[in-house]
Amino acid sequence: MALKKGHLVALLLLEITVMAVRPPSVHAVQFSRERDVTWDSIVRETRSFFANVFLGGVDEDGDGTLSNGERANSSLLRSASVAAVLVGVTCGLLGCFITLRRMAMFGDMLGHAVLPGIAVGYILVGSKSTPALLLGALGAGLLAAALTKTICSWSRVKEDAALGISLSFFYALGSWLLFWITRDPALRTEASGLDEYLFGNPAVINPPDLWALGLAAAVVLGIVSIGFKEFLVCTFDQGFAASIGLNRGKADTTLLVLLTVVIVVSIKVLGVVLVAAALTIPPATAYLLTDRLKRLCLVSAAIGALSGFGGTYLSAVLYIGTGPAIVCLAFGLLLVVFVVSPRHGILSRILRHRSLALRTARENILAAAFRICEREKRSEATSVGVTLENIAAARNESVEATRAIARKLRGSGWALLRDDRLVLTVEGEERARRVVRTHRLWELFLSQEARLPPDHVHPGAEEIEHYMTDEALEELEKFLNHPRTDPHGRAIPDSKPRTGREQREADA
Amino acid sequence: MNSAAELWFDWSLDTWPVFMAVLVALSTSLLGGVFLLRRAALLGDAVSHSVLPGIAAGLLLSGLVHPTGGEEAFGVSRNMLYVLGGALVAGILSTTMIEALSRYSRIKPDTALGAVFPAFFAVGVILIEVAASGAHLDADCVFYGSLELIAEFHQTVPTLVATVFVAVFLLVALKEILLSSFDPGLARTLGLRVRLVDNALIVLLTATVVCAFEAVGAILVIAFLIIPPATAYLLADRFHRVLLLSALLGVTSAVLGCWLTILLGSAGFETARAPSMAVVAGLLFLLVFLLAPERGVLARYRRQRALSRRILDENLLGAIYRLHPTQTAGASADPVAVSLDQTADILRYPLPELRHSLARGVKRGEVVDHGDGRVSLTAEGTSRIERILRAHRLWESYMIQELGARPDHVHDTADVIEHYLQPSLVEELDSTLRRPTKDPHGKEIPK
Repeated sequence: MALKKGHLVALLLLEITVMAVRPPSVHAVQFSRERDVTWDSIVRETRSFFANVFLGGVDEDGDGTLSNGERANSSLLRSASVAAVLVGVTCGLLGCFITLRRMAMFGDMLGHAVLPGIAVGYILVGSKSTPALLLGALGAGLLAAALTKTICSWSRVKEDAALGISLSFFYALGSWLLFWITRDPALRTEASGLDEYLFGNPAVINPPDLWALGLAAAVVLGIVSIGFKEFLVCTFDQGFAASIGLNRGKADTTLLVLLTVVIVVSIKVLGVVLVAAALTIPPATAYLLTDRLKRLCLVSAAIGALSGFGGTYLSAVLYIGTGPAIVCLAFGLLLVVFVVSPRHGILSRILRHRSLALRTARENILAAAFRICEREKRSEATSVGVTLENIAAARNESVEATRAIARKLRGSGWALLRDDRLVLTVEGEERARRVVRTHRLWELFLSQEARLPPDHVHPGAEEIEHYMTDEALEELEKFLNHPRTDPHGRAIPDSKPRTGREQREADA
Repeated sequence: MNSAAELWFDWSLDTWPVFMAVLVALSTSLLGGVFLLRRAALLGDAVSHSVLPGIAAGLLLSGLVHPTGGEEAFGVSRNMLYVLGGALVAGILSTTMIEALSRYSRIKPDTALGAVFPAFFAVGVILIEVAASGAHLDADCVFYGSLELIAEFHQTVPTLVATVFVAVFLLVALKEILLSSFDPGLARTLGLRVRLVDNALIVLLTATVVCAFEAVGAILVIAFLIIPPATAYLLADRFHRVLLLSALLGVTSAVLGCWLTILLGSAGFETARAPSMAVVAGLLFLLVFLLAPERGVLARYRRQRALSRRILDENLLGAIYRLHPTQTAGASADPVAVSLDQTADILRYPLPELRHSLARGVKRGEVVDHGDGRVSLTAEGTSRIERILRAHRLWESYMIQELGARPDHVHDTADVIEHYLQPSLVEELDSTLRRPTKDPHGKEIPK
C-alpha cells in the first residue's frame, strides 16, 4: 500500500482531535511576572550589573559606603560571571577538538551521565561538599564513557545508539537516586540545591567550585598547548599520526578524560542539558569563521567567554536563568555567523553564486556579439557594435532579457550601449575572444580526446568557457598542439587580435 | 513484610499508570527501532529536548488567547491543542535547522545536532520562566515525569491514539520505511517519496514524544527510544523482528519498572516510576549485551577462547611432530615419544598451559602421554597434523609461485592461516599449484 499525503493529514487531524478532548493536566498560563522588563529597568540593571562586577558593589541605600550585604551581592555576581567566562573559555577550547573528532554527542552524554555520581557523592558524604560531588561525578562520567566504548567495541550497536544508551541509563539511575534523596527524611535535610545541577545556576557557585573550575581550565590549557601538535596530527591525519608513532587511541582517551573533567566542573553553571551546548556551539561558530586550528581554538574560546559574560549580563538584566541565557546568546551568535560569515556564511555563498551567474550572463552576451561579428566577417564589434536584436536572436532569448544584462555590462568597462547597439571596448573584445577561444578549444578536446561526437560537445563547452583559468587554457592549447579550427570547422581565435599583416598572411 | 499478592499490583491504584507506561513504552520503542536502524538514534534525543519551547510557547499562547483558562465549552481543553501544535512546530523547526546547518555550512551533522537541541531547550527554559507562575511545568515533571498522576482512563487516550497510529503507520508503510531507511536511492528510483516518509516519521516522533513527555519526562523518553531497540538489535536481524522484539522489551521493562517501584516503595525506598522503568530497560540491555546467544560478550569470549585453544592444540601437535625422531625416517607406525619440555621450548609457551592442551589432546585421542614427561602422537594426531602441515606448505608454495612473495617471507603468514584453511580450499590450492609434492623450501608436502 503506497503512502499518500492524505494518510498523513488524516493521521494528524485525528491526533489533534483526540488531543483536544484531553483534560488539562497542565494549567493555563497567567501572565504575572514578578518583575517587568522595561527600558528603565534595563538601564538600571545594566548600571548595577557593571558596578557590581567591576567596581565592587552598588551603594543601594545611598549612605555613601558599601554595606556587607552590598559587598556580598557584588562578590556573588562577580564569581558568577567569572565562573561563566571560565566555563566558556574551557569548553570553547576543548570543544574544538571534540567537534573535530566528531565526539560532539559525547559531551551531551557525559553531561547527563554525571548525575548518579553527584547523587552517590551526596549519599556517601551526607552533605553538598564540593570535592565529594565532583569526585562522584567524575567517577560516573568516566564509567559512562567506558560503557559507551565497551558497547561499541563489543557489539554491533553503533556509537550514536551506544551514547544514547549510556546517557539514558546513567541519567535514569541518577534521577532515581535524586528522587529518593529528595523524599527520604534522613537524606533530604541537606539536599536542597542539588537540583542546581539539573538546570545549572552560576549564582550558587562557591569558592571551591571556582577553584575547581580554574584548575580544570589550567589543566585543559596546559595539555592542549603542550600536546597541540599531537592533537592536530591525530585529528586531521590518522595515517600520518600512526606512521610517526603517535597513538590515536591515547589522544582520544586523553580528550575523553579532559572532557569528563570539564563537564563535571561546568555542570553547576550550565546544568546537565546545556553543558553540551557550551562544547558545540562556540566551536561550530568559530569553524565558520576560520580555517586554521590555532585560530579556531582562540576564536572559539573567545566566543565562549563572550557568551559566558554576555549571558550573565542578560540574565541579570532580563531576569532569566543564566545557563539558558548563555546558551541562547551563543546560539544567536552562531545563527548570525551562519548567515553573514565572510567565507562560509549563507549570505556570502548567495553573493558568490549571484556574481558568478552575473559574470556568466555578461560573458555570454559578449561572446554572442563577438560571434556575430566573426560570422559576418566584420571587425567592428568595437566600433559600430552589434544590435541587441541580433544578440537576442543568436542567444535565443527575448530582447528585454538581453537588454537587462547589457545594461549591467555598462559598469564593467567591457561594453557600451549605444542606440540599442552593444559596442565592445578593447577589454570587452579581449574577454569575448577568450571565452570563444576556450569554448572552441574545449570542444576540440572533447571530440578529439574524449571521442564525443561533434554534436555532443557544445553543452560541456558552454559551461566550462566561464571557468577555465589561464594556465589551464595554455596547457590545453599546448596539449592539442596549437590547433586552428574546432570540430565544427570554425577558426579558433588567437589570444590577441591579429594585426593586418598577420590577417593577410592567414588568408593567403 | 507484605504478602506476595500485595507486592504485585494494587489494581485500583495502579491500573492506569501501568497502562500508560505500557503505551508509552510501546510507541516509543517501536518508533525508536525505526530510528535506530536508520542510524539516527540520537534524533529522538534532539526532538525530545527541542519540543520544550514549543510546549511552553503553546501554553503561553493559549494563556494569551484564552485568559480565563484553558477549559472551553464541550469540555474541550484548548491548552493541549496549543501544546501539541507548538511542540510539532518546534520539533520540525529543530530538525530542519539541524539539517540546514549541516547542509548549507561546513558544520558537521553531529555538531549541528549537539548545537541546536540545547539551544532549543534553553529557549524553552526561558519561556517557562517567563510564564512561570501559572504553568506547572516544574522540574519534577520535566525530569521525573508524573506517571503517578494518571488516575483515569481518559488521561491515557491521547497516548493510546498515538500508539495506535505508530503501530498502524508501521504496519501500512513498513515496506516504504524499510526501503527509504536502507536504500533511499533505490526508493527514489521506484517513485517512493522518501522525504514524505522522513517527514511523517519526524511528525510521529514529535507527537509520541509530546505524549510521553508528561508520563516519563523529557529526558527519559530517550531511554525508551533507544534502549529497547538496541537490545532487540542484539537479538534479531530482520527489520520487523527487531521492531517486534523492541516493543516486547519496552513493555517488559515498563511493567517490571512499575513493579520494581512498588516493591521498593513497600520496602521504604521511595522512587519514581519513570526512572525505574529506564533503569530496568538499561539492565535488560546489559544482560543481553553480556549473555546474548550469538552476539553477547560472553558468547564472543567463548568463541575466541575456543579458537585460541584450538590453535594452541594444533601448534602442540605440530611441535611434537617436528621433534619426532622418526619423522625423517618415515616410520610413523611406531612413534617414539618426545619430551614436553622440548615442545615448550619450540613453542615458547608456558608449560602449565601446554599441559592443559596436552590433556585435551589425550582426551581427543590425538596424543599419548607416557607419564614421564614424554609424549607421542597417535595415528589420528599424526593425520591431523599432516593435514595442517599440508595446508601450511601449500600456502607457502602458493604465496611464492602465484603471489611472487620471497621464500623467506612466507612462513609467518602460513603459520597463521594454516589453522583457518578449509579442506575444500586446500584442495583448490593443490589443483591450482598442479599437485606439487615438495614445497619451495624443498620440504615434502604430506598427502
